[in-house]
Order: sequence, then C-alpha cells, then structure tokens
Amino acid sequence: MRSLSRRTMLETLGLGGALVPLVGLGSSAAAGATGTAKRMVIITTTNGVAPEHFFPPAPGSLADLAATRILAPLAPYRDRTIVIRGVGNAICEAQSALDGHDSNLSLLTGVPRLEGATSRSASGISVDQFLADHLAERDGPTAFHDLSVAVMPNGHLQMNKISFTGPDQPVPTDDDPYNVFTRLFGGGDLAQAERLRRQRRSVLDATYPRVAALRDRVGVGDRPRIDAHLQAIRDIERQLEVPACIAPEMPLAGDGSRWSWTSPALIEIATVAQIDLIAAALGCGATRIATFPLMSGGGEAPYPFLGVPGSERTHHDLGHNADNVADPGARETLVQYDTWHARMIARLCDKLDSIPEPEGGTMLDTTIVAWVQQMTTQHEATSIPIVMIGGAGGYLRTGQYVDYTMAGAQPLQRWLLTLCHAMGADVPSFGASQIHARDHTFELVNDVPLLEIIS
Amino acid sequence: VTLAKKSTGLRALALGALVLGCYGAIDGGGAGPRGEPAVPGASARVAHDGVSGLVRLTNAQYVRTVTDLVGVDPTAAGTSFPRDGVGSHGYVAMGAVTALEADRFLRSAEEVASAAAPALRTGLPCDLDADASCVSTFVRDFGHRALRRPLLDDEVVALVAPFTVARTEWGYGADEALAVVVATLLVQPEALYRTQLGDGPGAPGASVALGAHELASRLSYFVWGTAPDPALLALADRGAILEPARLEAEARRLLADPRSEDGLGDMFVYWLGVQTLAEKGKTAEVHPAWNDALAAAMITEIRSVALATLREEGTLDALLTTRRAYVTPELAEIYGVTHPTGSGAAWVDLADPDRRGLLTRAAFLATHSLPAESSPIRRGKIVRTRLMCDVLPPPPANAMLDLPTVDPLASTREKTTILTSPTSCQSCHALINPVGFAFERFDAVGRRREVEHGQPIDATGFLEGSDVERSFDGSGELTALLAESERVERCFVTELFRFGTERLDTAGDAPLLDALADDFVASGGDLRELVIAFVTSEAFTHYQVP
Repeated sequence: MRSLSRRTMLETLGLGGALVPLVGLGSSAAAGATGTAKRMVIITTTNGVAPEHFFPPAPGSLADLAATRILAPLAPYRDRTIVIRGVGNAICEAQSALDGHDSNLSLLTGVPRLEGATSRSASGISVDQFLADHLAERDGPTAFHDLSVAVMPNGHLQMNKISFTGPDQPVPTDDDPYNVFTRLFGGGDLAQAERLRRQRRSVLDATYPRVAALRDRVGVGDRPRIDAHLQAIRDIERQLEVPACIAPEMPLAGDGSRWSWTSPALIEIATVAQIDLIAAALGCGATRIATFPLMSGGGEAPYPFLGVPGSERTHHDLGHNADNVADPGARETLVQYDTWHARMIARLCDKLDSIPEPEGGTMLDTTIVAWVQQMTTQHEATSIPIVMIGGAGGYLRTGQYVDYTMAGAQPLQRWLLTLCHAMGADVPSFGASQIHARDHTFELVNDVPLLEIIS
Repeated sequence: VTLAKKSTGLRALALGALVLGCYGAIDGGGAGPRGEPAVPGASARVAHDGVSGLVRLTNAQYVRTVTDLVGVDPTAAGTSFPRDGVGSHGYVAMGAVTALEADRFLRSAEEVASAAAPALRTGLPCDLDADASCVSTFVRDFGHRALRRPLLDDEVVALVAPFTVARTEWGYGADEALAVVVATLLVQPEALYRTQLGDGPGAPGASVALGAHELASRLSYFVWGTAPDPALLALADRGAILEPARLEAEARRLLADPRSEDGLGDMFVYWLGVQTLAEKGKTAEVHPAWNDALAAAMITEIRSVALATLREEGTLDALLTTRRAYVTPELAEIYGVTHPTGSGAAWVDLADPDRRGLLTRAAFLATHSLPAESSPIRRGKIVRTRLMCDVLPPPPANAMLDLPTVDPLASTREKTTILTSPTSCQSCHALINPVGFAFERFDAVGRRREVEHGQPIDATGFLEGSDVERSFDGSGELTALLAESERVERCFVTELFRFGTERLDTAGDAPLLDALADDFVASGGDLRELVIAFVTSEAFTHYQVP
C-alpha cells in the first residue's frame, strides 16, 4: 500500500476541463458544496443483474426510483444517490477468456491480476486501502485502518477477495460477525478492558522482537511475509491505544450461540449483523473505510430465507441461467435476490442517516456508500452497474442516473479515480488506465478524466 | 446486445487462436495455464516462486498443535478459525499473518491459556509460589514442546520475566501469571511457522539440508498434521532423525498411527476437493437428511477410508476400488446399508457394484454436485484433473451466451450433452462428460437412484484420452479402469508431491517425480513405499532455494 501512497506525490494534472458536469439534473442535497467525503463503504455483489429491473427507464432524475424494482428500497435516498451504467472493466475483457471470473481482482485495483502467482491474486493496491492510507495521513490514524467483512466465504476463496494492500497481498475478510464485534468493541467492563490491554502489550512486546529476529534468518523472498506480520502486530498495538467504542448489540447466530457457518439460512442474520457493525464502526470513528463483498465469488449459496420460488437455488446458478429461455424462473428469482441486496444497503443507509454530524446533517451526507457489481450479466464485465449513495460532503452531484452506454463503455479506472477525488485524494490516476487488448498489456496513464458526476 | 457483440470482438482480438475451452465448474484446485487446449495427462510444470523456507502452519494444524500441547481446543474455547484457502497446487496455501489474524491468534491464545493454566500448574513437579526456579522449569519444558526445539537460556529468561511482572506488579495469581506465559508462547513466530532453513537461507539454487528439528517437524506435520510427539522430538534433540534409516523408521511409525488421518488425511480431502462440502448449498428443505453432522461424517469417512486402506491393502488400486465404508447411522442410510450398532461411526462393506472406491463415497459425489442435482461436469472435471492430471482450460467467456435450449424434464445426462454440444465446448467436454456420466446413478447427496424423471439412468461411457480407452457402465466399472491406469498412478505421485512440498512441481522436479513414479508403478501402486520414498528424498529432507 505504501508504494502507491507515495505515488500521490506525482504532480496533479489540471483536471478543470474534465470537471464540467455533462450530465446531471439531480437536486443534490448538498449541491454547490465543495467538500469531500470523510468515509466510504464499498459493497460488491456478483453474477450479474437483470438490467431492465435494475436501471431506471431513462437517464436523468431519480424521482421515480421507487418504480425501479431492484433499487426501490433505496428510493428514500434518491436525492443522495447516483446510478451509473456503462462503466466497464476492460481488464477482464483483455486479460483472458476467463472474462469476469477474475473481476474481483481488478474491480477495486484497476490493474490486472498477478501473473505467475501461486493463487489468484491482484497486482496492485485496491482503492479502499489506498484511501484508508490517504485518510490516515490526512485526518490521523483510526483504531482500525479499515474494516473488511464478508458473509460465508465459500469454495471460491480467492474469488471473495476484493481488497488488496499491494501485489499479492489480499486483505482478509472477517466472515464471523461475533469476531468483528469483539475486535471492534472488546468485551467486559472498562477495568477488565484496561487489564487486558496491559497484558496484550506484554505479550506483543515479547513477540515482536522475535518475529523481527526471524526476518534476519529467512531468505529475501520470505521477508515481505515477515514484514506483514510485524505490521500486523503494530496494528494491534495501535488498536490497544484507542479507547473502546460504544458497542451495539452483540451479534449471535440464529440459535443464540456463538457464531459458526452452518446453513445458508444464516446469511440473512450475518448480513444484517455485518451491516450494523459497519455502521457502528463508522459511527464511533473506529475506522473510515469498510469493504463488504456481499455474496461474492462464486455466490454458491441459496437464499432460502427469502421464501420466494427458486430461493433454494444458488445465486451463481441463477446468474448463469438468467438468460436461459428454458429456465424462465431464474431471472425473476435473481431479481428477488438483488432486491434483497438493495434492502441490505438501504439498511446501512438508514443507520448512517440516523447518526448526526457535528456540523449538521447526518453521517450519510458525508459518506459514500458504493454498491458495485462485479459483472454485467452472467460473466461479462463490459458494463458493471454502480450505485453510490450518500452526499460525499457535497462533492458528488447526486440525484441522477448516468448512462454511458451510448458513448461507449467508460474505463473502470475513471470511477476509481472519481472515488479518490471524492475522498479528497487528488491523484492524477488510479490503476492501469490504458488497456492494450491485442498484446494483453496495461499501463498507468495520467489522462483519464473523472466521471462527469461531480458538483 | 451491443455490449455483448463488442465484448466478443474484443476478446477475439485479444485471444486470437487461443479461444478454445469448455463450460464447466471453475471451482476447486487444478493447476493449468489458462487459454490453452485441453491436454490429457499433461501435468502442468511451471516456473513459480512458491518455494519458501518459512512455512506457516495451516489453521487446522495450528488448532491441532495447540490442542495437543495444552489439552484445550482453541475452537471449543471460542475462537473461530477460517477454513484454509487452497493454492493453485490444489492444497492449502497460507498467506502472511494479517492484523486480523494476529488479533485472532492473540485472543485465542489468551482464551486457551486461561483455560489450560490450572491443569498445567497442577501438573508441575514443583510449586510456583514456593520455588523461584519452578517457573523456569515450566518455561523450559513447555517452551521445548511449543516451539518444537529446546529453548536457549536467554529465551527462558525472557519468558520468565512476564510471569514475574504479572505476579509482583499486576497482582496476578499463579494461574493468571502462568497463562500470560502460555499465551506468549502460543503466539511466538516459531509456534505459527515452521522453518526449512538449515544453516541459513542459502544461495539461489542451493539445496540446503534441513536441521534435525526442522525435519522432525516437517515429517510430523506431513503425516500427522501436528507437532512431533515426545519420541520424535527426542530423536531431533539427539540429531538422530537426520539418519536416513531412522527417518524411514519414524515415517513408518507415524504412518501406522491413526493420527495420520489428520495429516495425510488432509491430502485425500483436498485431492478429492471435498473440503468445500459444507458450503455447497445443500439444505434440509431439498434433502431432508441433510445436516452439519452428516456433512462432517462424510468428510471423516474420506479420511478414515483412505488411511485404513493405506494401512491395510496399501495400494492405490485398493483406494480406487475398496468396498470399505465408515458410516454413522445417517450416512449408512444414504448408502442404503444397515448400521451395525445404530450409533456412532462404524465400518461396513458396501455391496453395491457401483460403490467402489473413494470416488463413490458420499463426500465426493455430494461436493461435486449442484445443491439439488448431480453434476456430471463437476464430477468428470475433478476426475480428469486430479486423478488423470489433464490440463483443462476454463470455458470460453461466451460459453453461457446463446446456450442451446434444453427440455427441463430431460435427464441430467441429456441436458449436459445438449448444453455442451457446441464445437467450442467439445474439446474438453468429450473428455469430461463421459467420466461424469459414470456417476449418474448417484444423486446430489450421493444416494443411489435408478431412475430420473421416470427414465432409467444411463451411466455408460468410454474413457476417452487415457491409457485405458475402454467402455464402462457405471462408476464401479469406471473406477476399475482408473485403478488399471498407469497415468492415474503417475498422477497420484504428482499430487502427493504437491501436497508434501506445498507447491506446484517445476521442470526441475521432473527427474525425482519420474523416479518416484517409476518405482510406484513397478511396485503395483504401493502407497506406503511411495510415502517412504518421498519422505527420504531430497525434496523432503532438503530445502531447494528458489
């Protein structure tokens, strides 16, 4: 993460021309403001959507968002929402016949997958990690650099990873809401917490130098792993210095026990718990950046708790069969699944919108909640649906649906760059912005403009 | 529609003549370069950087190690460890320790140490309060086992210090202070990693002999999936484990012990790809018998049958054709057999002529299925890739566009045949499908069925692209053919090598792999002798610096 962070020293290009809003009829709640977002949550889903039920009928105002089946749960936030169509992940197209299968590796990194690695991995830092670094530098460190949660990582472990601190350095996602809870909020009373902190410092003090000593013994190739371990210990030490937050309800499994993944029926309970924990973590300032690959990767899980026809089928299966004329029910069930995703995101917005900001407004006004699909339909990534909710401190021109389809797919890196600028990181580029399909090469160029969605 | 056309055009530009592939499940391991034609029997040997002198214990190994060490299971004490990830070599691959994981190790160590401290203290030969040297005695002995090597004197001093501080400055009781020392030892780097460094990291290309304690740990984790026991640790202390005859004798001793179901058992679980069974979307709504205990019993059966067969008949042939099953009453019901006692797990012999060998056990059949239906593609693919070492490219990106229409009431076999009928699919599916069809008499949880949609099952096929190109009817005949195949024998050697070296094989490994395979074939597929030959080879006793 450190290398690209230093790259922010690259001269900032004049982006004035690109800043002119070409589209935008929305009545942004914060129109005219010139702030930036303080926080960001990225939630990803996969296997494609049924676009006719996802997007509004025409570009422009989101006044009728309630009439859009999948996004209807977000209608209360239509004035603070941007829906984008026509941003494409060209890396998936160019790098292999795998198409969208590896899209999680480039979705937030904007760079191709790492070639020659022993397992599927990304070749660069993801935007969430980059921005967490940026915010730590600008606004000071938080107890948690970032929060990365998941529900039921399945057989496609590598396909669940969207967040990377650098090449082949995936950020682990915590799929156990109870673990997330205890990490964030600890347990017991203050005296007990203080006693535990003292003891942990003692254990870590006795451990750190021995990990460092091991570093001198191993070969050069193993040192990055040791360095990561040392950094992990320092991260925990820093967390020990920060007072505990006000804890929400402790998340428990459906039967009231501690957590373990046993049944798809738990997906709903876990998702609600993780959403609430993200909101609580942001609310008490424990972190500013969160990622949540919600039913990512292969999506090999059914949603039986929805109780709709076909809800015994896996999300992956439905995604594959959404266009299968011999399987007419699949598309409708997929719509139901994605509508549930929207309800979960609306829940996060509800939580954030209930937390007042000291300067007025709510936490949602100063946050970006981004919901991005890994794929268009099935396994294509030529046009990935993006929804951003929140005022972003007035930076984004919200209340609109932008459709780039007629103009040709826009590079994913434009969106990633726009996220950076919305968070106040005025870098000239993010990711590999030049894709050469013919010879599978990629390069970093500095002439990619922001999306035309800013105030 | 516009977008789809555009994307196809782009892809054609990008891939040119390389567009070729097949539709199918992408999950599971299986190494192979992408975008290349299917190559039956061509094991992928690639240049890579997976070799490391620093091996992190898998989460399963760490849990077992701590349990053996202190008598408290960390998962029972409350910490959930994520299931280990799979590398491209098909077996567990561990990344760097992240902040989240370091936190998890720390909290787990605290919980385990608190739970274990009273028993550890009462087990001491001395009194912690009366005898000032007692804590040193504990640190020296417990540290020896925890770090799997004797502690140096300054290390003992450093670990005694927290005990004294906790006791005198924090007002901790003896158990609480002991727990701080235990927790500290459980998160030491040498508790979380194994080293394979010998006298040093070594120059690139060098072959460095492992130290005695490194070799003892490597052997123990390979066969038992946990730390060396006192006997093996003593051999390491004396350096005797470095003698080839002693190493071989220890390997045989460990192999004969049921703990091999944990360590070497992992190989069979990942080889057959069944580690993901619990996450395959099976529900009690669709399969009334389904629950977590049944899924766990299926996995246990794979470990038990594999290692029992290794100890008894001892051949790959037997592994692929055994009638032995290890069943709980619920699993016995899936197999349609009577459980001998009505409770617990027990051995039975399966009479069904299609139930021959590990590939016909419920764990394999259920994992490589859809949630509610069998999947000839998934079953066929894993046999082709992991038993026959075929290299199969992933399906072309547009495989799912413009699918042929299928009748929902057609048989799984008919649907599979129609869906994979396009020419671009056939290069792979001509190999995959027939193998998968052999298992069609078993449903999505591995229960036998005679009909589907009222029609009798067709489980016939021809084993294309193999050294035993013959026709078969059902999984019993298919597994008999696989058991005859020299390619399957050679492939198994490669799989064992990948599991044991924790990496993909490279071109440089070819001479050793060929020699191991020649001997394995000549021995009639003797599994025990293969394990011994591998363990005593330089690939195991030495570290090849990349």
